[in-house]
Amino acid sequence: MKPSFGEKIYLLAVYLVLAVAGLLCLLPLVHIASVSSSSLQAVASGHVTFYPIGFSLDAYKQLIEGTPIMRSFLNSVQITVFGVIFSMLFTILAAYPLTRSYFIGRRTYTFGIVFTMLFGGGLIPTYLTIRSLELINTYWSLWLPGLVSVFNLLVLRTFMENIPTEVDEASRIDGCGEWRYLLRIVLPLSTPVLATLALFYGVGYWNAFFNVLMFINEPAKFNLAVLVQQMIQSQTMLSQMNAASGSSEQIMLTPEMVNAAAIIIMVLPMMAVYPFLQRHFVKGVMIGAVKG
Amino acid sequence: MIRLWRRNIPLYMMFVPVIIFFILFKYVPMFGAVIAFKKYNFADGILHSPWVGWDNFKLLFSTPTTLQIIRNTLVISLLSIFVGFPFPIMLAIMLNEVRRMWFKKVVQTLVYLPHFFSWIIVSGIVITVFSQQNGLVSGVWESLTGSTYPFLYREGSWLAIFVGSGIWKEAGFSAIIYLAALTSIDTTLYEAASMDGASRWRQIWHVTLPGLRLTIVLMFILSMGRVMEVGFDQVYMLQNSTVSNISEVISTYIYKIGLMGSQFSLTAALGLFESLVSLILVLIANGIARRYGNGLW
Amino acid sequence: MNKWTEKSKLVAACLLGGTVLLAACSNGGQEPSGGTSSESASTSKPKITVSIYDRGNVPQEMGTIDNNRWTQWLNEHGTVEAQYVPIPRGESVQKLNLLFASGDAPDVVTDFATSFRNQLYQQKQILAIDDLIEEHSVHYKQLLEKYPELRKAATKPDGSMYEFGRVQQLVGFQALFIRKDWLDKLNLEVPETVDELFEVAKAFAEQDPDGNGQRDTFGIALSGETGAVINTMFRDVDWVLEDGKLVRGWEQQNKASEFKKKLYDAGLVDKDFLADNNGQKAQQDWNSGKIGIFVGRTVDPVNVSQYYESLKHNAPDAEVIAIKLPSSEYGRFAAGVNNPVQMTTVINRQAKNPEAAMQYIDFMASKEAGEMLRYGADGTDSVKGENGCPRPKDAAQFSKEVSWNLDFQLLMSQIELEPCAGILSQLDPEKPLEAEFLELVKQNNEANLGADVEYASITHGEHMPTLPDDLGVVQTNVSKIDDIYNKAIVGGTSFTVEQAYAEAQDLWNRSGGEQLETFYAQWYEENKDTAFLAKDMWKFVKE
Repeated sequence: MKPSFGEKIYLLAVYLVLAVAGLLCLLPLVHIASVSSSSLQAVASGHVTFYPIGFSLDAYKQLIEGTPIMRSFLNSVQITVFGVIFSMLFTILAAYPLTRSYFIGRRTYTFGIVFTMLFGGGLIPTYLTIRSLELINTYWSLWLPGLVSVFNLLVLRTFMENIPTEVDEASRIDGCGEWRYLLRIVLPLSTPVLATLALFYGVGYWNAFFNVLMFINEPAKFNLAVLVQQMIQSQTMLSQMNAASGSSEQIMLTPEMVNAAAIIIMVLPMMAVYPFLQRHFVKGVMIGAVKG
Repeated sequence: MIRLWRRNIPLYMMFVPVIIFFILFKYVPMFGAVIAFKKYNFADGILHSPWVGWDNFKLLFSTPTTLQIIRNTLVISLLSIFVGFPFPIMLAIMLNEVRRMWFKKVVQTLVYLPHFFSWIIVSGIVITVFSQQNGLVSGVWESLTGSTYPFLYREGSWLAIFVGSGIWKEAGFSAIIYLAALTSIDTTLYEAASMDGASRWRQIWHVTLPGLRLTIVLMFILSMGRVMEVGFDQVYMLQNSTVSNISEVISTYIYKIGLMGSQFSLTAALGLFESLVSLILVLIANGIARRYGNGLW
Repeated sequence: MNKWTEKSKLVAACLLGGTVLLAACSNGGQEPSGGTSSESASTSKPKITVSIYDRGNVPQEMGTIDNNRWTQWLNEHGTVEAQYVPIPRGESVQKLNLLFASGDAPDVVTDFATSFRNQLYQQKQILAIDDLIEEHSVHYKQLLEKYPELRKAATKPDGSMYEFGRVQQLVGFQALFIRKDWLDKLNLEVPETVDELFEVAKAFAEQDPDGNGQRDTFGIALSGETGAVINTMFRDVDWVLEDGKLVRGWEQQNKASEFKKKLYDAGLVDKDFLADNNGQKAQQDWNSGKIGIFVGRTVDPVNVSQYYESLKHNAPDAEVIAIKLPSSEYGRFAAGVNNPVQMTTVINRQAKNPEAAMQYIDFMASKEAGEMLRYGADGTDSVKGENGCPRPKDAAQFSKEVSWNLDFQLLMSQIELEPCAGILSQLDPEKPLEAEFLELVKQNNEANLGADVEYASITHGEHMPTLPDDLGVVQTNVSKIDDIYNKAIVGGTSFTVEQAYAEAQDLWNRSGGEQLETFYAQWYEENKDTAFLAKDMWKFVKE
């Protein structure tokens, strides 16, 4: 079917809006990349906007040679990969029973889980719990307390509920056990949402910063996010605090280009991974197949 | 009945580890919130610190600032939610219309990027764009009206910038969920609609949006649970003195109090209040959703 | 399926859940503490734990903050073996709170935040140290005798000492920089009063001092530290003495705000200064040669690149001088100076071996440790320069090996190392940029430490009393007063300073500001003879 004139205009508008939105979102990346590859003077004078001035890659060199960026990168990978595996596993185990209408206590559990999203005990009790399990200074202190995100759990549950019940009935006649039904039918049909959740968990673990600082004691175990945040965030806050209190604490300043380079190195893997996950967002072929 | 229980056994096999997790890491620490009713100190710990009843709440709510801060939190947050809510949905639907895969992939990746940049960076960009002197927008504004406008100093325009920057930063990331949801819409429905001669608009209205309904409802209920948490960084980095009447929110207030010394009990009291408000909002939202058969529980 | 198998399935499931968690626990507990075993040689020495700031700035090949050349040296040469507990600098108070709450806090705890150390005192988490110093220290005892102010600053309300600190010479910390080349070009004198300051700023903004034919320069910065120093010119420092009584200085704040408003209304400053939260924009403008008057710092060699190098790069003709703050009707004041007696360290009440902790502190306060940490090894890291002071042998090597160890120097009394330790001996007069900056350092010290200027506040912020919890809330609530005044600065005719004053007063009264007033007045009344005040600070000026 050929698109009508109106549809052509409509599509043109869609493409145009998306292109503009995409460009707007590209700005910060371009800005940071420019800063990371400019000269100190240009950066310190605020001249760098969206292209490098006094091009140099010294910042990257300095970062790779001078800071433990490789080690923290590997730590980040370790935290993220295992974290995603554990979290996905438990989120699936949590979500599936909640989608079964005959699951006893379903509503109570759902409410009980949502409740934990709203009420918390704060940092100290959480720390004491982790400590009593002797998990401080291990990555388990990052994986276990955030094992299941309520948000992700509910998203998964909603998607699983969306799977048409005919599929359910069909498989039940086959005498499929719950485990087999989950593995053979539900999970394959949920690939788009599983990819989404893996991404959400992955991004969360990749960016983990505060928990790492609180629960991990050895700098050798710190991840990339901590390295970057210590360079930037803490320093900004510190210099503000200093300015306010007239404190005479000496601050070691990392050149802004190095900060920017670190941000780029931190963001690149997230950029690289995303397109691979996008391929799972293919239109619901499988549901159709099962139904047919 | 026994049959039902028996049917539940495999489900419980899956679910028990989850229950253990929630009890151990969520419900056990939750008891720490009792310090809201105590005067917490290190020596006595959570259990043995002296009870003070409602004193912490009284101290909080006796000051004129507190009510303003709660109001600000609600205003900023509800505004962000209601204005920002449609953007990820629109973005996802638009991306869904795109047939050129490379274009879709590129745009999808680009709009997802800002999520990864901290608010320090975003605030730098906001100032570059909206400052009166040499700001990009101000330049355009000046050439149109002949005078500059202090976008960052007026409460209205500041709020717009605040909400806008939040949308710009997160819409692409939030759209991912809707993109995933779109995949589960039965393609035959589109075919049928298009056979009936429905325009693209009507297809969106009658097929796409209903297909997203469950996700939209879920996102809405969940966002109600976070009404009281306006992100600290976003406010802290974007605020300035002239808008402090509307920009001071609970998280920045807690931060300021913390600078004077760690007031654990006071913070816990404020946290408990926050949780209570969120709970009420979630209950209301869920209650409405249940009317239409889409409640969470 | 019979019941039995179902049941066993259930049990198995429970176990599965349990084991996953258990495996997690046991695995976690056994995880080796990778790579931090410097405890090789000295097993006989008593062991203690010590907090150390972690800023993530240890060069990779130097190890980590808790195990590196310096920790090894300290453990080898000291009489105790310290195991360092890294504390992230940005989140130090939160992390230390967790450690104290769980009973894991190190024996020796270091933090700059006065309010945090006071909280530890109030919650009885730290040891009184008088006897320890008396019986188990050598170097620190000597310091205490030499500088009795150290005792003054360490003494808490119960009359005992609780904190260890370090002594430094009083130096100009903030500097009021002005573009000398612009003054000359426009035939202007160095401003001596605030009115002259206004005129100079006006000329800088309006008469095209950089000669590019455009009106694109600002007279003066208003954000960041410059804004705070303008307040200082009017003695707008919250708490001021009036007839021997400590009261809130409303009038001063009004005057300072009016002055800023005048600058703003005349268009001499960056209109967006309030959005420039940390003064970064102003600094960039200074660096690119667009601001004529700006407050920077002259205390650390890093300040050269921060405030001078880029400026000279962008405007090679720029000539900078550091001047005295112009006088106002309230007097003539010093810009920011350092805290010459800075308290940093406390001993945890739970420490198993307080004597060992004391010995560690004593060693860290010794000249031997101080010189080593400051200069590195004589001959390899530093060599004696012409002035007899050690100087980095190779700047790049030095910054890689030595200069990041700053946070090990929190007990080092720099005054004992003078005249070598300060910035004056660290800059290299052979390099033109550093030689010029040296001049700025000297000018700044002359401007701010003389007898003809006064310290605007009664004492350095770190020696002000910590408020009790409920007053802390009041203080937080009234801190909005600054916002109200800022609003008046940019408010034009629609919101004047007078209106701001009325609004601020109203907020003050509604929030219980008079409680603060009573607290401070009473504190001053009771402690004016024993507290560490501005006059004590000025005892540390080098003759």
